[in-house]
Amino acid sequence: MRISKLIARVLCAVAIVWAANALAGFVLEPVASNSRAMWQDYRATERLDTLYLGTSIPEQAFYPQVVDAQAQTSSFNMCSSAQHLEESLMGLERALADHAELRCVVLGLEYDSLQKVGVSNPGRAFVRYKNVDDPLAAVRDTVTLLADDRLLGTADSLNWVFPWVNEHVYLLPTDIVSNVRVKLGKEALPGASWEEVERLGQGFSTTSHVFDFNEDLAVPYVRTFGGAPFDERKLDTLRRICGLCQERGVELLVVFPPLPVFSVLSYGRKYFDQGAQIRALVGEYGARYFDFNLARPELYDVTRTDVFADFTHLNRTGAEAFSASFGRLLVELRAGHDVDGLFYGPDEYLASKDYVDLLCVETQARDGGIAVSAEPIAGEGAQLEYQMLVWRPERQDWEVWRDWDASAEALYVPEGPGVYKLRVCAREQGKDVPYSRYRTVEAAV
Amino acid sequence: MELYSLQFVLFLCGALTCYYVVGRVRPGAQWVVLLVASMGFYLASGWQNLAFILLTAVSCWFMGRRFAALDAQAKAERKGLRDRAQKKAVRERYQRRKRVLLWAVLALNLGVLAYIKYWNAILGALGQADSPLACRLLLPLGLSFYTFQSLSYVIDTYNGKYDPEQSLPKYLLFVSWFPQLIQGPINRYDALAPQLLGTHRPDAERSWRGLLLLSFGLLKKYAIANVLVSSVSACLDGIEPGTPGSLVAFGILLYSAQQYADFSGGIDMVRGVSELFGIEMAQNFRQPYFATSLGDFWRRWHISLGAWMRDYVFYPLALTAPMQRLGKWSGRTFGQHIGRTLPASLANVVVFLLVGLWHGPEPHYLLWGLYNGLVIAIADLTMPLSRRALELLRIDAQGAFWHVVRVLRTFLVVNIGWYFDRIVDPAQCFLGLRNTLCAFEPQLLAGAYASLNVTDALKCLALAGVACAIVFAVSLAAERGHDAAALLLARPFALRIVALVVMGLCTLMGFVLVPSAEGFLYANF
Repeated sequence: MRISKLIARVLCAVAIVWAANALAGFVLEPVASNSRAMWQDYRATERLDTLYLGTSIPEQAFYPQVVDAQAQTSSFNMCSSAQHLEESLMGLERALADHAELRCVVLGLEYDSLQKVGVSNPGRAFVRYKNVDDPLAAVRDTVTLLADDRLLGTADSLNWVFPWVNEHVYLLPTDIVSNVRVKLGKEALPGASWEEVERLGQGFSTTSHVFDFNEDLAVPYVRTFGGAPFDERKLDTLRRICGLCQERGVELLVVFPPLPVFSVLSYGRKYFDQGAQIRALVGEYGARYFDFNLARPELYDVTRTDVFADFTHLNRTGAEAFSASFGRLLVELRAGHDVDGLFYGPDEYLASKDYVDLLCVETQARDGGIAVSAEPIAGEGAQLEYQMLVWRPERQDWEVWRDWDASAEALYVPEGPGVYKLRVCAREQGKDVPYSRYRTVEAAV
Repeated sequence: MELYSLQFVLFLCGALTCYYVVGRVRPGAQWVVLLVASMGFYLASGWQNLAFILLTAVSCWFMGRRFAALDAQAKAERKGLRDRAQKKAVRERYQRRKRVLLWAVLALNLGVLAYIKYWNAILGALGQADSPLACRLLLPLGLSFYTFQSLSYVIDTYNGKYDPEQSLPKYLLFVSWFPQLIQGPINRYDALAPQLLGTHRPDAERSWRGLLLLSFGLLKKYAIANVLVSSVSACLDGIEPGTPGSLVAFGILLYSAQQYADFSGGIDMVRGVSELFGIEMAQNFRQPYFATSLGDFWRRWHISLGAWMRDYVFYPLALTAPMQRLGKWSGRTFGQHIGRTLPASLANVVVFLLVGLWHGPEPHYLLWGLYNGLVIAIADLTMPLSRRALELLRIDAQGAFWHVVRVLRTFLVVNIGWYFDRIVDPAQCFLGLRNTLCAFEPQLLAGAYASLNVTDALKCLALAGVACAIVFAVSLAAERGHDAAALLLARPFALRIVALVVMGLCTLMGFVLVPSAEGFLYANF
């Protein structure tokens, strides 16, 4: 084969692959991804004295405008979905370089940030949009991430070449079509809202959905993320963040934003031990750790059920409430007041939770019926009772088949085989309410 | 280092460049590049495991040379003798020495394999799981595969099938050739070594074939196997008395697709990689789901292991004196057919029990092996009855209708076997089988599957369906004697690229749906 023909063929192959990749990216890459929107906001920010870093939990918790109004700060939320500490460090370095006025860094830390090697896609998007105006930094950050253990030698490293694989719209025809239409200019970008996420500026995004503790899918934090011991490399990255802040004379506050109470209760005593580990580590660098899950009611009411968008993230109401509390904490800190009294110790915390926060139900076909087992997540001292019901479609109503009793297990024997909708209600003994929490399941026999 | 990773792509590009540059400058030294690349690949999986592969390579290489030396000594001694009895005595003396050495090297290598793979299971069965004697070693990459490959070399040199390799580095390359380390195939020395040690120049058509095979393997692995993992687990992990049989059967069907796509996809990938170097590795799959009997299936599935078992376990066992005596006795007692097939049937049961054990020490694997061995044995033993039944029913055994029936029947029999393979707890396995047979309840399937809450379940099934259709079309063409790659290579260049792009997009869609890639099912054997 002549060399010119060979070159032509290679160029043709590259062109087809590039075109296919570009087309897939055009169709699937969201016109307004979280990272892209956040970095657009960042570039528009003129003054920044307080910076929030972290994953989607702090991303949807720190409402900069609310904190600013409370604590007279100019803050920016640089958090992003599943942001690794390595990306937080990159973001911090960028902010320190851009904003000499930066005085306070708030690292919104959840335990998973110190446990996981985890997903890489946010790293991909975070780095990509962070460096759209700085190709050299893009190369440096890309090499840094690709050389990191979490990507080195894995499928994600190759998928780095195909950004749409990890950063795409929901795979629903309507979303894909809408995405394409916006990109073609046939449809306007739907304002500050996209895929049910409201973007309120200063990097903050939120949703208005209210998580239903009884009806919505609920998985405690420890079951979602595993509750492993902290990874030594992640702790090293945390040390680097602390060290950088100390070196630059920037105050560092490490903050665990609120989770539903059931996530703390189901984590067990290890929750407090791991919290103490973080406190000790950051303390070595003069930084402070605040866990808002242990906040006393006078600072923040962790028992509210209208503040979550899902079983992990705050909604807009929750972000407003939490950010107002956090703003107050900042004011107290600036005033030099002792704020330790605003948080429970482990025993005090557990003693204060004497109710059921989440009810899970397991079923198993047994002895010609359905064995129903209620598994409450409740405070250590909670004394509970349970009522069990079955849905009667012909009457469109629930029928009690076992009345209130302290036993969490019972056998439902139906008249015939089929799929049955069963509900278990739970409440604290002696409390005269229809239920404190309930859960509905379907089971076949 | 995963095959689907930037690191591997860079490693492969580097190795290919060095390989072909060295091939131009000093053609005889190309194998050195392959050895360095293979050692590099192995070291990337953990340098601690290097000792194991070196132990196997050195012991088998040394023994191959020792056998040849003993043969030469025996020949020399016999040459000076005239008496036939003395010649026979010399031959037997040397044969005994060789046999001792053979058993020693078999014991050493199988001992290492057994210690690392089975020792903890034995301790566990004895209630000593936490014993200080427990093996703390991680399974070295490709341990079963390179052990079996090396033992085939040892047995072949023992039998004088070919001359032993004189160079240890060259033999080490045969054992450690990096594409075969992950999950085989189990190559034979006389087929692979000449290619590894030969000279290869860049070849456009061969490279195209390699790329197509690699892309086809990626499609199978990531657009079928990976996206079905969650559904298979959801359907088959934790079967309860009330689980509809249709859900279990659906899970097993998905597992069929998952397992085939995972294993054959991985093999396609490594064969494609090897092909880029101009080295053709042993074929491991030949459209197994078009098989017309279970025996035929196992001649099409994991072919290199089946051939290994046939050559080094089945024949030696079936041809032992006790087996021959059993054949004669049963021939006299039950007739000629039984006399001829009974030893082979028993040997088959033993072989499949060993294959089950090779998969792992867990009871469900032994049940799976026993099931396959027994089904094949019964089919062989009752062959005359089957033929008679066909005659009575006036069915044309060579006709298309009966061929399709046999393919479907084999598919069913194979899938029953997968119950034992996939469902780890034997009690749950029998429960799943019972529900499939006695409580199928197809009307509950959709609801039961939906209630499993598998993420993006329908999209995963749709993607797997599209990819399965591509695999089916290619397999059907191959079954009809067409080479799908050759058909594609005859098309215009741009069309070939488009075919690669389509397979690539399907692969990437697999990652869109399931971002975390699972390892290969057969990577830990």
